[in-house]
Amino acid sequence: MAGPEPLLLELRDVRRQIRLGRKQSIHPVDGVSLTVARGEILGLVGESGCGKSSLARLAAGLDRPTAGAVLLGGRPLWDARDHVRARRVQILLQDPYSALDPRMRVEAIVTEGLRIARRERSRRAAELLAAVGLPSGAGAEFPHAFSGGQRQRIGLARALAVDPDLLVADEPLSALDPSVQAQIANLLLDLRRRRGLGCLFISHDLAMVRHICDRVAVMYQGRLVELVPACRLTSGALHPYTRGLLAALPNLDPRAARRQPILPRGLPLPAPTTGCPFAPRCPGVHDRCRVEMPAWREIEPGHWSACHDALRR
Amino acid sequence: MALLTVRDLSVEFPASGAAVRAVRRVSLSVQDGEVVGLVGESGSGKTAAMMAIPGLLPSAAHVAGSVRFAGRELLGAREQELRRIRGARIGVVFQDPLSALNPTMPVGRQVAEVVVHHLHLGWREARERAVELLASVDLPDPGRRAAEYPHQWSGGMRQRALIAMALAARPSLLIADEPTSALDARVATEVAELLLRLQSELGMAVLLASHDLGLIARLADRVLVMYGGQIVESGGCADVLLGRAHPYTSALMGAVPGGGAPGTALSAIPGEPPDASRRDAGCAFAARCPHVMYGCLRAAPPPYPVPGKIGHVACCWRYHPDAPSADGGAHGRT
Ligand SMILES: Nc1ncnc2c1ncn2[C@@H]1O[C@H](COP(=O)(O)OP(=O)(O)OP(=O)(O)O)[C@@H](O)[C@H]1O
Ligand code: SF4
Ligand code: SF4
Ligand SMILES: [Mg+2]
Repeated sequence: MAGPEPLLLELRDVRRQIRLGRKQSIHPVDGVSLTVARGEILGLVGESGCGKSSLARLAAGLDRPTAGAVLLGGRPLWDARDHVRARRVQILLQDPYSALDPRMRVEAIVTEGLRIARRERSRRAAELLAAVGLPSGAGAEFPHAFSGGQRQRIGLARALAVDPDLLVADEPLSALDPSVQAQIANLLLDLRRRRGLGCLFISHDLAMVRHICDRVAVMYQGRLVELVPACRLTSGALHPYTRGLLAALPNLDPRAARRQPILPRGLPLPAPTTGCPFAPRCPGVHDRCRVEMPAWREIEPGHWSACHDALRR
Repeated sequence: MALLTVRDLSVEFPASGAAVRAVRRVSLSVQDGEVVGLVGESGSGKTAAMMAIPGLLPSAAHVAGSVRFAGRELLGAREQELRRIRGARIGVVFQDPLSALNPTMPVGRQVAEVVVHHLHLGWREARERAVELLASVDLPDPGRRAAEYPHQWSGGMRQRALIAMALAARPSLLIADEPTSALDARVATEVAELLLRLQSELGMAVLLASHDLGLIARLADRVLVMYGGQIVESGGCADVLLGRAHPYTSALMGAVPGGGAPGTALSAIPGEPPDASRRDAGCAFAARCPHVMYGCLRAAPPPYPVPGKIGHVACCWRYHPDAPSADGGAHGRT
């Protein structure tokens, strides 16, 4: 029997440190380990500033980790030559306004990463634009002629042009209307089924994450606090932070929406130096939490959590 | 009388081929203190309609119809008067908070400038007022941060600053175009909560466009649904979002994940939104509508009151007694 196929993406205890001054530094990513298999969509959720985007940049090879390793197909991603990396990993960002060069025609933007003849270019661009549901004439226009949703689709067409193995998508849907969101989500599901595309899918939309992802990683202040199969997210989440996020899941029924609880207020507090980083906001905090950092443990097969009380829930 | 009454508003953008008819005879009203949500796919004309109201469209756009705000006609008003009304009576918040701020000036100074302009305070007082305003939108440490430049702020902080500026003069109407869609979840929720709080504190009316149907469900009293530049349904928030009166609204709600089995395809609305430069006979949604009937292709459906719902109107032939039928008469359901 052949050995197991190497994982598409593997992060091993990855850290990123940013020095602010001589003595001060922050850790947007503070020891994260996770994997994405071929054909897997891994969701990454967590609130603003928890380090999701920093992690996305590490996973896409745009930043170098301060410690730990980022492996793509078993090889260090950072050591790969730029063009090799770009062919295998593409990143798609949230902001459809600044991502596209306003002076380039859409056709040129979409096929920028391809080395093909000019005649081929228009044909390939038209194919790519059609795949993301844009009209065939779109290639000849400049970005300013498109709405936010359309620009995001242009960005996706560009990312898919090189036929990458891994797509790192940082809030790719949040600027889009519900129908286009559904359309692009369907496109991702389709690419993963047909081509085995792997995807690190960062989103705040838990309903979408639950629908399209295989597993969901929950990040808090630079660390993972829970990793759970998507089908277990709603019923089986163990970490109080994940449950808080779930309680804020948007409700489309206006009568219920108005009564909806929101996560405990307040900007992220500085993490305490000892104990559980979530302790200052945790509704279930107890003495042990303040002195001892909870370990990252597998609670049931495939379900990890970092909370002292995870086993008791 | 309504605070804002829009009648037959049309917006056209000249283009190399046929003009883009972004807004087509839209009528709507907003009462004092009311939150009106505007939903619809990309390109349906939400931004064009909302920006036409306070006169913020580029001058190349052709705008027709009538926009009466607090008893005054705004269409055709002088730019000077519009500018005064915009700061003092109508606040505007845009989707993209970075491009709406001046990158070369500290944020506090930009807020203070609005205060000097519209509240006619001196610079010293305006600076203090600016810090108060930033505090009122829950900006942490406003005294220190006021001296920083926009790029030093996160997207959520910038959006708070824009809200502070829009609300500096306590306007009676806030026009907010996707105020949270460039922000991530938690910040978006916080900004939504902030809007809700300020709305009830200041008692202002809000016209809010968003793709986030959860946000609309939470904030809006009434909802307008736009399709192809027209309002195809309007009514109470729950009636419109859950009432399944218009096939387009149902399709839009159906695209949100929630119902189907995980990993299965979501119900995106089939086909493309209508070409904004075309003018077809019949219902604009006909090409994508699962309920399309013969008559739908022949004549555009007029607004029809949804039975049993006060103030709920849908433009659809489905339940309309006078729907044109193949034999030339009304299809008269029995
Ligand atoms: N300055 C402009 N010049 C030409 N066409 C424009 C201009 N602004 C908007 N349009 C067109 O007018 C139509 C309506 O656009 P609008 O921006 O109002 O849509 P929207 O509903 O706000 O979409 P989104 O949800 O993506 O923001 C679209 O077809 C768009 O391409
Ligand atoms: S370890 Fe304690 S403080 Fe941390 S999440 Fe669990 S219960 Fe809350
Ligand atoms: S009028 Fe006809 S085509 Fe238009 S929405 Fe109603 S049923 Fe569908
Ligand atoms: Mg818009």
